[in-house]
Amino acid sequence: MRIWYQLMASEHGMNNFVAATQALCDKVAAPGTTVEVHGTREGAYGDQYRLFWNYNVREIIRNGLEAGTSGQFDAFVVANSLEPGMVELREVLDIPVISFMEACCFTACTMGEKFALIVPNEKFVPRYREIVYGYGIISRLATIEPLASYENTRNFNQAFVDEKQEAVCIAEITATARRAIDKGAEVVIAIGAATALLAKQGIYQIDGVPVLDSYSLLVKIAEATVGYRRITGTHISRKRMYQSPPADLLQRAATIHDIKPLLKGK
Amino acid sequence: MRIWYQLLSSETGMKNSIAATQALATKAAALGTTVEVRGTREGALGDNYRLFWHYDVREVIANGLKIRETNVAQAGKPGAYDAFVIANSLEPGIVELREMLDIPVLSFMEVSCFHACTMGEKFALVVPNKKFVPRYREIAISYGLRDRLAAVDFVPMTNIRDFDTVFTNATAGDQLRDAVLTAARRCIDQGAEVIICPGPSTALMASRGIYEVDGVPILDSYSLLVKIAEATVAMHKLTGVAVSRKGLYQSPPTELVKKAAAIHDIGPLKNG
Repeated sequence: MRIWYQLMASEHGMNNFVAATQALCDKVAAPGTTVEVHGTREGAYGDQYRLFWNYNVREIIRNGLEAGTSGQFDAFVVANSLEPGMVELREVLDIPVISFMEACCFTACTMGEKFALIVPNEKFVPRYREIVYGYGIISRLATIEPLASYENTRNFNQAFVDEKQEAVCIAEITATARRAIDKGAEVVIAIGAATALLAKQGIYQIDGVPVLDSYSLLVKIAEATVGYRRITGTHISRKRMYQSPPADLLQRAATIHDIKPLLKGK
Repeated sequence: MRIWYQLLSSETGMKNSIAATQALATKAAALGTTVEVRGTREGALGDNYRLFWHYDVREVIANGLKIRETNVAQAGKPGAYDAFVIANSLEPGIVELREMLDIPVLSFMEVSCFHACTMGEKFALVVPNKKFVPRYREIAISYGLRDRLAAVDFVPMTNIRDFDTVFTNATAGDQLRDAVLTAARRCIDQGAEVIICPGPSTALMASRGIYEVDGVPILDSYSLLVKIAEATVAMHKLTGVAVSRKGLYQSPPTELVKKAAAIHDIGPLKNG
């Protein structure tokens, strides 16, 4: 099984984070599963602002179309928690497209009544709330707590190679998780680099409350989904939400927008 | 990996249904995974009536506690169970067992409903009979999924045990298949993008290789449960965490366990 695992993080600006995530994935992958962790060229730079995020989405859609139509991959994992391109890719790819937030939120709902999100900064709070609303499970959300020191999410990168910085970062995540627990969280989902940092240190609980190792979980859910698809031949509904465009529209649109992976005969 | 896979069906009265489920689970299991499909002594006899269901729940809880006891005795040795799967869709004993077991306890309905939410916007349930409709609606709504539930429809299986013959009598099987497809189509008309068939219907459809109706997926929930159980066990082994002990699934203190075990004569809990 071969999995394309797409982060939003810049491959050079957040190289330490990308490497740490690859290590987590390698550790958890079943024998025979290869997980290829990819970042983007310049992603996760001020992506709490929707405009900048939009440019990152373009790159992820392009990667998804190339990987998903190559015939080389069994699943495309949108490992960024903002779900860039998720619906777009599910509409047209014939392999499972797995979402970080779906996997984490739905799993958290099986581990306790209420979960919380720790997000990189305050600007992100409404966006993440919107995602949980979209799932229909807002009643299961205890709170969304922002970190204070990560206006620029790239600041996380140093924490993966600098022990002092790592300790500072983990202390802040821990304090934030405690605020969430005080507000009723039974399971904590730390978004982005925070989850990799905790898992790298083997921190899976704070004050007895599970903190999901989301990146590892994503690998296991991807393996399960691919396994299920191999049994049933199904992975998505083509009725309504993820309905694929008709072939002639697909070709016309691919020509107009120069979407090479979708052009027939490619 | 060793998984206890608990149905509610009677091991004598619904043996064909159990055998079909075992075949599906065995086929879905990864190399190295053993899935032991179990029924109950007299379960699924009129369990659309809550009182009769209540007696079935007692047996499922007793089995779960036996697994707990086995795992304590086998700690660190082969023979311990890695997960307890509540493969019955009415979630008998789910909270009770999550409170007490230190291995993952999986739920047919949680797994099916949440997975369906990743495959489309709206899902529907095709349940065994009309009496069940409010109960299944209640379960989906309790997850918070009211807005994701398109419909709850049913097939005419007033006596759940009648399901057993559909696995050995081709005509009865054809009739149930047709009833499921008809109910599923009604659900699709109401907006369903994914269909979940609680109970033996899911085993029948999967046994016949029917995974879609009019392009809409019908979940093979029993196979899905195996794959998600494997994933959950792997995460448990990696992180040491199966469930949150804060809030809903908090375990009772040891002294209380011992006292309650003495009062209620719960053998597997007598040592806390």
